[in-house]
Amino acid sequence: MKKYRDLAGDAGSGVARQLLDQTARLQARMAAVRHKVAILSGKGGVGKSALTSNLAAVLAGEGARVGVLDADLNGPSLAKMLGVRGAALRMGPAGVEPPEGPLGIKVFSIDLLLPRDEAPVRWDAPTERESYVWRGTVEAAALREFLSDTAWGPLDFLLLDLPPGTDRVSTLASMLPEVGAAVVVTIPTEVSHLTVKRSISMAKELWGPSALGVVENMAAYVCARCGGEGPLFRGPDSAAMARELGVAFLGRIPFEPRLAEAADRGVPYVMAEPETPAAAALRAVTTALRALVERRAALPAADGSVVG
Amino acid sequence: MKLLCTQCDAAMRLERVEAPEQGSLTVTFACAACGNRVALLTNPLETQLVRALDVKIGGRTDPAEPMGFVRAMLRPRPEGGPEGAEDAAPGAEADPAPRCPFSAMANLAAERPPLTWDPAAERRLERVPDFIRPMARQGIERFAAERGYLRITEDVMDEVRGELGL
Repeated sequence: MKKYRDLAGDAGSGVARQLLDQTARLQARMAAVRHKVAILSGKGGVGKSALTSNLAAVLAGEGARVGVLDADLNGPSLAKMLGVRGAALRMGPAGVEPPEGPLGIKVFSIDLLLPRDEAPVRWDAPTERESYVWRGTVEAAALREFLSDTAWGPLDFLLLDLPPGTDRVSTLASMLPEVGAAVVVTIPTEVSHLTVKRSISMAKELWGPSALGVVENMAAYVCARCGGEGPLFRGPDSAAMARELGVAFLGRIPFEPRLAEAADRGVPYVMAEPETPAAAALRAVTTALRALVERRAALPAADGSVVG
Repeated sequence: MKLLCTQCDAAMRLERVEAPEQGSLTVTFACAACGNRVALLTNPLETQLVRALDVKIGGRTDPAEPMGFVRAMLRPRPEGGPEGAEDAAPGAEADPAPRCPFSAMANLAAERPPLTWDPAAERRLERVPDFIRPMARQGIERFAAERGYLRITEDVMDEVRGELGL
């Protein structure tokens, strides 16, 4: 009796063809994006989204064409941080047109699709029971659609703000194997390092060590009166962790309460408070990120193409 | 998934897909050699798994719309129904005009890009007799449009031949 691989085709189900079509749509859209940059962390609450919005603002301020995709489907915050919350979506000839935030940053987030502040993301299903079986697949398909059906246009940078944990990292890597950089955010505590190390290991496996750069957030406390810096956490050194794991260290950003206040107003902190030590640190991290993606872009990919 | 006719040791072909009823899909397969038919009946969880992949068994009958999956899968806010009460904060009043996230979209995408033909597919079409070529062309283009293909290749023509007998 014949086995699975003895039978050609897919019995007319058309599933394989549709999956190939989905990939083709995604690749066609991403071809116009020079550098795809994932911002991730194994740990929640370390400031990924705040860093993403400020990296985007620095890059856009330097003249780059920048898009930001909020890939945190269950805890979206970037629409708020970049001041586009509540913006009406328009369908253009090339897809859904993302609203533009400060400096022309194009933003897409599931937040733009939710009806009310307190509404959670709920997917249509006959029952919520056993939703753990299909929820991850639905979220991956939604993320693919956000990437492929948003009319990003030509971009120099597309920043993807991932939710905490490692599961979305592998989802994204299967969609964007050629990611230009993966920024791993940590804070200087042992608990954070423990979880972040796992994310780094996974991202290294998926994208290679040349893609990775570590950012230490909340690295110090800046006194509002005198401007002096002091340690906020007396934890381990994140630069040493990066060295130990063989990945780049992009820099440290001090803790700054006004960063959260700016985010609440929908204005990137680097624009609201450009003269502060934290803003200078964010600009330095952006410079290091640019160097990382340019170094990586110069490397040939496994298939001989150029990494982006 | 593939189905094998154990009598003929031959692959069965998908014949018909019936719309989900109470969460169950009915997919009928037939053996081209002996005519034997089997129906695959999915339970609601299996149907949901297929939906989660953003695919339709048997192929799409209409081209994929931008964000069509999210539009279909994001559960709309019920209008005053019991599930609306689950969503609302305690004490919140029902919104008389629920916001559909895509309702504000001005649909500027009505004009789809035209189908294009690969030269090899064109050459193959040239081999079809003159008097039925326009009909064949129309049939192939309709088939391609229904599945969301933007380019007609020899592979597409093979599919047409398999499914429509053209």
